[in-house]
Amino acid sequence: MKLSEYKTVFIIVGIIGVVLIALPGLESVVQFPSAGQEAFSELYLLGPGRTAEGYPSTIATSQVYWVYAGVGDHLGQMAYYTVSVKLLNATDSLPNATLSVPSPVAPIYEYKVVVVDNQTLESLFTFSFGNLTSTSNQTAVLGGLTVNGAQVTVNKPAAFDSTLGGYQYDLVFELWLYNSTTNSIQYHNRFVDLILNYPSSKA
Amino acid sequence: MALAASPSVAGIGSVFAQSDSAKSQLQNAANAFAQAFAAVSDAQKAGANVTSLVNQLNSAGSSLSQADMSYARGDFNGTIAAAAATILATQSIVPQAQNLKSSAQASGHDAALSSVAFSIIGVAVFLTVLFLVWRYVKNSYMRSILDARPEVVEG
Repeated sequence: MKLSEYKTVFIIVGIIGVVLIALPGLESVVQFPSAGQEAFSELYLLGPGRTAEGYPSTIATSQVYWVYAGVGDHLGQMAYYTVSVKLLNATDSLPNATLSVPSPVAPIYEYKVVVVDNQTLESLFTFSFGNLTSTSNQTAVLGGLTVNGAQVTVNKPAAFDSTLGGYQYDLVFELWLYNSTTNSIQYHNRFVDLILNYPSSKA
Repeated sequence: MALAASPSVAGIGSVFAQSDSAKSQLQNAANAFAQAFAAVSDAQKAGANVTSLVNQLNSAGSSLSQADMSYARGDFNGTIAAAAATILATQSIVPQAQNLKSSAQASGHDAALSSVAFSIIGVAVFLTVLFLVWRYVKNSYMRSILDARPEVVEG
């Protein structure tokens, strides 16, 4: 091996060594771009046992039911969400995921959560339905329900569904996200729903 | 007729005033909550441990949700009370978040400085050692070349 070849080996070893030793110091001064990570949020419902089973489906008057609504933040930063709960009947529009539009129905309940990046937060959601009042042979109106201990007046009509033998309601949980630039809460195009059948006494 | 209508007009005016006051208080609470969220978010970005502050924020968020729901129900007294509770809760969050942010920034700055210093010293030591090794290798190489030179033999 010639001296010039030894020199080349030393220069290469020197450059690699300097880069490796200087890297921790460089990292604390220069912000290196992180590998591209998809930013998204989660919204999910768990049953009473905090598992994905045992969801309430058939409703009895005044019986208290509960589910857990979970929100997960994978946006790369802390996020401030609003979970908006809406009660829909069979003719109300669900949120439109394609157009990113929420359901036009007014919320019956809302709660706000702040979630740290890469964490989830589960909140207990209890509800019980009040009495149905028949308005005709085929329709009835739900006067109110109790949500997390608070009485909510809804006066929500529903048509009798002969296949279900009752009246169908849909509890929709929508996820909204706070936008600090506009200082407003915006629909985040995530929703989950719980279809509930209120059996009719005539069924 | 006018005399009979006066009390109800005054009553309606009072309801409107209460509604305006509740709406304004609700807006103040929402702004206070957003400011507290921004302060905690900034503290976290600076590297602070904000677990406790996030719990406090979520507690204030419950009050704000309650204020929102009360307003939607037309319960203006309930709105004002819940909004006041939100503002009170967020008032203690903002200074705590700012302190945590300052501490995190200071310790982050110190850590960065010591990391840079260690890197500079490390590079200097590495280059010195490498230079000494290079000199030794070079001298050894030269010696081996000189030792291997052909000898002139008289004959």
